[in-house]
Amino acid sequence: MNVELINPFVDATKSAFTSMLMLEVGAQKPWFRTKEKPEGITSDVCSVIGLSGKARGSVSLGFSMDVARSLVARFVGESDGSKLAMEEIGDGVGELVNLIAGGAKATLSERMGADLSISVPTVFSGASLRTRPDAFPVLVIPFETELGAFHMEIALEVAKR
Amino acid sequence: MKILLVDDSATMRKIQRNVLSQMGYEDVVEAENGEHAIHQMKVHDFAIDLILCDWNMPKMNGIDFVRKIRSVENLRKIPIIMVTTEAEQKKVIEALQAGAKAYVVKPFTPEILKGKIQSIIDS
Repeated sequence: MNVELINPFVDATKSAFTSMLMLEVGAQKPWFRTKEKPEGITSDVCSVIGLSGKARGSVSLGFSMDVARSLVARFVGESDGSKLAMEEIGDGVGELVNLIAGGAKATLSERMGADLSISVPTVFSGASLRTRPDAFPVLVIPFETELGAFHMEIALEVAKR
Repeated sequence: MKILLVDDSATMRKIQRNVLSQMGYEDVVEAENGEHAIHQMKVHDFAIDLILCDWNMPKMNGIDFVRKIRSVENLRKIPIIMVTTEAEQKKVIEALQAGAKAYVVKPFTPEILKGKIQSIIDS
């Protein structure tokens, strides 16, 4: 997976968090899920968005419920995250992945000289969720914030002509 | 001043409503997509003073909504600010040519959105 595909997502994450959540976010050392080592990080809430066009695949964000609740509360300006309904948390993490994918899409489209499309986000919630990719490798990027950690998974490839 | 917020994300509508409230604008109507926005405009007798509109929405997207509103003579004077993740220059041009008055790219800081809204109101 080309680093040129990945940096726009890291940059877009930082942009989304600093501008709309007023939160600094630090990317930690990324690592790959592979066929030989497919295990990823579990989460309680996961938002996924698809990309298509010259680069295709998916990007997902995974959070513990506590972190999702805290981040969405910050996002919408609520002082008490415990008052948020699950529907609000789901919409909030869906919008986060939408912002990040949208920001990355603009950079990737410009670099590739080709239009990319992003899907409507899908949100899953449960206990100890783990994505099961169709293809490997999948890049996992852990992020840290003062409200807790979350991770991003990027499974992207450049379409062959 | 009555303001219409059009976005399929309840989170985004809440954020924009907060910004408007901080500016002193409490008379806010919400819609989940372009089709719903037209319904809401009818409900309020088209007495809308400003529209903030997303681009990518189900049923009727933002650009089609803008074109629809601009096709009606009595509604052409309502300023529309596109608030969207679509950041490519050609999208901005398309929206302005369709009749949007201004364009804000998500993610935005509250100050950016406030500044854009204020500049429209002042003009």
